[in-house]
Amino acid sequence: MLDETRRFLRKVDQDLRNLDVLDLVPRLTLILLILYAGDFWYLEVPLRVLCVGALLYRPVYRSGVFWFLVTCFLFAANYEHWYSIDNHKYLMTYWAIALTCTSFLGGVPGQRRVLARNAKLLIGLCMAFAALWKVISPDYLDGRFFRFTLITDPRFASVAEVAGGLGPAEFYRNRTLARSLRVGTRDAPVVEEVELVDTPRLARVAGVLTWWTIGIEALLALAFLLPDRWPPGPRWRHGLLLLFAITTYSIATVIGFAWLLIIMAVATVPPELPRLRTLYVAVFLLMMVYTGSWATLVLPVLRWLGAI
Amino acid sequence: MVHSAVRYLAPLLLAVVAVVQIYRAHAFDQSPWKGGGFGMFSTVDSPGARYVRAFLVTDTGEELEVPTPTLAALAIERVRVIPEAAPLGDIAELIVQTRWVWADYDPIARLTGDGVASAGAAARDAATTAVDGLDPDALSDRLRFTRPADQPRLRPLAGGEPEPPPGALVAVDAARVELWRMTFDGDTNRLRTSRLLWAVHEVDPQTTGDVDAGRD
Repeated sequence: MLDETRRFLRKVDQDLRNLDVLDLVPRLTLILLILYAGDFWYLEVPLRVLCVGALLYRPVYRSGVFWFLVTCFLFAANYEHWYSIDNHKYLMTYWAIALTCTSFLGGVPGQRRVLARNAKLLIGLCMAFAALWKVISPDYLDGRFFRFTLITDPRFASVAEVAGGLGPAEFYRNRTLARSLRVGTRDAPVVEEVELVDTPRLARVAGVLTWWTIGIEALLALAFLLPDRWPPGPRWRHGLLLLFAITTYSIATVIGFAWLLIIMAVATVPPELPRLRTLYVAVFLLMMVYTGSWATLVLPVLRWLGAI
Repeated sequence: MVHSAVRYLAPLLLAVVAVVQIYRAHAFDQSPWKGGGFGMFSTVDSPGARYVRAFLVTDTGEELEVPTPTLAALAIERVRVIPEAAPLGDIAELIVQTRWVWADYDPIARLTGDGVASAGAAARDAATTAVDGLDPDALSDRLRFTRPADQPRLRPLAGGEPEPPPGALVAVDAARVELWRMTFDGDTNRLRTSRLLWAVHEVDPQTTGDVDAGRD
């Protein structure tokens, strides 16, 4: 059984090494578009039909016309909802544009090079703007954002409990108080100020998260925007991105964003580092594990063990 | 040059849109979380920290908070990202055009000769008792739908409901819609809210269609 699994994994690794980047990257992008293209039926339905067709018939996803159509659908739907869609939906549209421009180019080596450069620039710029926003926001660098998020955002509740020592009752109290600013309660009218609770440990966790996030985003921006010949080189670049994906998206489970970053990163993997592709595909799959509510499984065990 | 610009159109677009978004966030108070500038997870000021409140002004001058119309959901979603007076005025107009009845008014009780209030009040009391067990989710729902308790509550008259008696209908003079924003004070752990923008739509035939708006 163990030997069979090992043989199977070795074969997958070999297949991924042998697969042309111009096949692997579009296929992963098609999976992304089928599952996470958007929330509007008039985008989802045609895109799913187009993308499933393309997955089944290789010449379709190698054609510029196909990616142009995909871009048109994404652009039209996202343009209408530009004020409400998440940033990775913008990035998804840019990536479709990059695939369109690349597919219309003549010559496979040129396509590979241009696709890789587009991917590098998109990852680098998106990380650079994300870091820039954190520098210019008045409530980020002083730790307020993460303190507030840890004590009120349900996505961070497990971190607040495990690392910050904020129990579910306190967390629930904060949520209720924050909500009372909007709607009041049955026994009290709307108020304009409430005092939330945190713990000294939680303030330290917020500080760590603040500097970790801005630090890794700034490093990723540098790693992807600096030329390849500059140190520290591609190994560090990909190591950082894998670390970012594995850590960040275990808490902020925006899997569409994670997949998109991974797909673009696969496009930039140099031929001399073929194992990275397998690693990226493994992390791509790991993101699917993250979509499960792991905290609901882990937290009761930790509570039972008396660890929290 | 042009050839390269076409090849690298995608990163070029990303940079242009992000710079425009940063400008708009500073010039027009657009939420940094939205608009393609990658400002998510950088500030408390997300669209979730902004919310809309609506008030009716009756012909006696009384101000009553009312729920925002479902029809205005998209406009509210937009105004929470881009604070503009015009959509708030449109929502106020929609509220003025709606026919409002006192929340206690129950058409079924009225048809069965049970007066205006009894059945509606009994149903509400039963629902309130049911959520008093303090189950977090149930309480959240209660908060979501409960308006300030020190004011009589109103509800819109639903389509198909029988014509209410004159006493049940609320005579409306104007509607005011406000956009509020929360801020977090890290020193005191206090979450505060303040009004950002408002718009009033009046029913007065002399001024119908006029929208008065302002920024705090």
